[in-house]
Amino acid sequence: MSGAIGCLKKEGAIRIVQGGYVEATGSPSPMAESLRALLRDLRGSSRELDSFPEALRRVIEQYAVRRGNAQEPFRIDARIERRYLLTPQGEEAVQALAQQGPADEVSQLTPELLKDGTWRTKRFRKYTISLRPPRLAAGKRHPYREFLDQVKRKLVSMGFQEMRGPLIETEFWNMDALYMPQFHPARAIHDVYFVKEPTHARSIDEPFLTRVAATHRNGGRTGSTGWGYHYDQTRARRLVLRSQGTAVSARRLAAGPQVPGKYFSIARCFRYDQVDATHATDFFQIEGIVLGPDITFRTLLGLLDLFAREMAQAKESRFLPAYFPFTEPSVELHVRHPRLGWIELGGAGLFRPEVTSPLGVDVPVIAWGLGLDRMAMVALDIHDIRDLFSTDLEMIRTTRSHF
Amino acid sequence: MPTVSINRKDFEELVGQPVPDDQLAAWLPLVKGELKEQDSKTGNLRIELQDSNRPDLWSCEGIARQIRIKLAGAPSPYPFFKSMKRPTHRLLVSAGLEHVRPYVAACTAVGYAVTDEGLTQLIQVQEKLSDVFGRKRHTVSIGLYRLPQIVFPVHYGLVKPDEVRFTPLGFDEALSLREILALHPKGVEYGSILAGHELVPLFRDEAGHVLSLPPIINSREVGEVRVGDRELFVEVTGTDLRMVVLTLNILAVNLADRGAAIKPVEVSYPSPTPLGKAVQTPLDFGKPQSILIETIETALGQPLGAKQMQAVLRAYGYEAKAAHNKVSIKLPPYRHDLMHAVDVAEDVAISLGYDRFTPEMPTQFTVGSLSRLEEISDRIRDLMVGFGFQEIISNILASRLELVERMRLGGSEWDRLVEVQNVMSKSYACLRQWITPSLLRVEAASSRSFYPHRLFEVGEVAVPDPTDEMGSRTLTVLGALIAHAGANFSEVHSCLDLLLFYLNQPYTLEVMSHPSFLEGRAGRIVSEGRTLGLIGELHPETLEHWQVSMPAVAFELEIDALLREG
Repeated sequence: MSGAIGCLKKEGAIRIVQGGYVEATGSPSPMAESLRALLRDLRGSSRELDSFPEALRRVIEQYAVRRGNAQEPFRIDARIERRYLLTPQGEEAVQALAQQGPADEVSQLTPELLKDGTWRTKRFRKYTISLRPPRLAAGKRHPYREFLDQVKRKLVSMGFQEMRGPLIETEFWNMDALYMPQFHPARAIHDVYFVKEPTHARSIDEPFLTRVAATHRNGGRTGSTGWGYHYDQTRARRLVLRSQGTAVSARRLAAGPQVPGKYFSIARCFRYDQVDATHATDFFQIEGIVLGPDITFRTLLGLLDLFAREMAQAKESRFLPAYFPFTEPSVELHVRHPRLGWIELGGAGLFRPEVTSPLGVDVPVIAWGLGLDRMAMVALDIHDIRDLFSTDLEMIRTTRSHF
Repeated sequence: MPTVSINRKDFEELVGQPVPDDQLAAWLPLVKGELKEQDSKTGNLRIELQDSNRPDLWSCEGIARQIRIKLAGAPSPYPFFKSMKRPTHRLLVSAGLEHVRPYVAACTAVGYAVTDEGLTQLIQVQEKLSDVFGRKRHTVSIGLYRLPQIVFPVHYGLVKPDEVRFTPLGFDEALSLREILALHPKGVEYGSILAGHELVPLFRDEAGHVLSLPPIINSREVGEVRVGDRELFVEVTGTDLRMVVLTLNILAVNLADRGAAIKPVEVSYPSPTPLGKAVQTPLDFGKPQSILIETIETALGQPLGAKQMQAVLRAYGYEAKAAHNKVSIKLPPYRHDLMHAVDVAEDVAISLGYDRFTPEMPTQFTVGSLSRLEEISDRIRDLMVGFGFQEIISNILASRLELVERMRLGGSEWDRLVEVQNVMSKSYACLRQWITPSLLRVEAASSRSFYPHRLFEVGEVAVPDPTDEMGSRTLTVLGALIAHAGANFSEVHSCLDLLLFYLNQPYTLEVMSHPSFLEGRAGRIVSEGRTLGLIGELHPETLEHWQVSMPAVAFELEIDALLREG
């Protein structure tokens, strides 16, 4: 409103008198006339802006809707016209295509096309290469096995020989030879799986049975007091599912190991446990021995230091006193894992003379074991130990390892 | 390994100084302890103790004692072990107990008013010692009583289960011994220890009052220790004399640490025991022994010398005296875990602290290698991956349903398995005798994953073999399976053929009837008359059993057999 009054005053069609009243002067307003004529002409229809004379175009532009002012009688719609022309090269291409005549479009290059050269007459359909490709049913190692393979390679590179043993063991090799007394709590029915049939092995190799029996009874020739109980030779033949990889080490010691020697096994073991996210019914234990005249408690710590660096890339590690029935002194190795914080990486110790001497070994022997499943789970980004042996092919196909 | 609960305030009183967190962490290695939980409000700590041969540590008193000794640099004196006076209190053992529960040890503890926390610890150590060390009360069990109500001598005798009645702890009325064994929760739990005996053991005092039915339950009247009690009678019974005496020794030093005066009791047996006919308990039955210092230094790889050796051992509770190249040692009376010099070596290392030893690399050169079996297994795995197969790892334990019934092997020559006697779950009751069921287990779970499926596993199986010393053999086997709409014999045969070509292993296929496979589409892989494995198209009924809705073909190859021939 104030805009309209301003305009009429400028044209002299009105004037403002005392008291703020507006008064017509009697002179005409060219602007008002133009607007009236335009509104009459257009009456809500639209017309090309260029078809108006310059003067009216100005009026329309002045009273057109624009940003910040929607209350105007006119609206100017911008309409852009584009024209496309062939470039000189385009003109040439048209000429060339016209000369060749129409060509087939094909999607696949075939041996036939290559053989007779007719690919020259074909046009190859262009692809949208940004689309996701179809999935490949590829051959691949199992991610957990890849992890174990890497462990295996590391151990071999550090001078360890692989050893193997049976899944089904006698209590003798699984426990007695390791100086675990037959009344040891961990030997009860609730910790070990017993074989249903046959229940017992036919015999245990001599002289090991006699020597181990004597060692349990009164120390035998080991310089030990022994456990001081009646050793049951029948119980020694009882068949169990191997419950610890150390059984493989015991068999190796009895079979005459190399001295100096380093050995490892990745042995499937079984524990009588309720299966859950942290307990598997059967699992791999990574265990081994190191033997030689220079082996002491300090070289044991040195070996564990090496494992901390090589197996866990740990920059920090510490040793804590531990207890295993077959070693003395015994050590637990803890390392600082970049994602898990302080974790127990393994346990180790010097085999007791009650273990080595009856098996015919007279140099000190380190027994070591590594618990790498937690590291494997981090590397494979899984949270349930059962998933290491997953039956879900989709999961196996899509698991990537980070190690 | 037992886990014990202790209260920090009580613990600090026993240690004799405040124990902040970092100090606790530094001391726990002395007892092979690991802090499992702590409640900063109540001050309760849960500590796991690893050494199953150190029952003396399974209590607040025990842990505090080991630390106190370290602080003092010398063992605590317990003079009552050296008491020369004949005890005033006697305990008489009747004939016949040698066949039931032969041994007993006892003492009195006077002058310590039982506190709340002290009672909690008494109950806890009683439980840990009789449960873990005493193998659920079989070899050792413990009874605690209010001394003023007992008229000495105490009689440890045998009675008929219907002959005597008393009111057991937790009950309001008197029951016969037979009723206690049948009805009382502890009778139900531990009654089996006395099963098969016509007469059962019983403690009665001179006045005929029943103290307890060991190892089951105390009398409520005499055998209910309460906060504030100042005079206690402690007894331990069991089947192993040294374990029984050791357990009493531990209880005695625990009570002494809390301020009680321990008075020994003389136990009179009708016939001689390894410790004599009349045994005064608590009893220090440890013997001093002499060890070459060099033996320990060699084991540890570190020279220590006589003087330091003596100091370090004393700071761990030993009586030790070093002279020249030998150290004469004796364990404290509450320990009985010294079997060999290596045990002393570990105590020396723990007393010094493991961090005081500089790790040293083993220097001797050794050549690393894989077994032949592992080498060829790795080659086979590489080839199978190259053929487009996805590797699988499976549990070796499976069910008879999976290994036999679903495979249609019931009643056939392939239905024998190595089975577990103490089954935890039917799903894990048997060891697999071949790999194909493991691969079908994956197949059954994976119909959503796009086809084709080509799976393989190189793994161990257990095959029953009556001719073997152990009744079975562990074999390493390759199993391969292909499943997709067009899977057929020739496809899987091609894989086998190429694999054996690269392995330089000639073979022929012999037609075989095998219930898991379609008749006429299964064969034995044979070389020079020896079977290496089998191959075939899985029977539609096998697939139905597994709810697999794709045709599948498979082969198995015994890798051990390849080695034997090569």
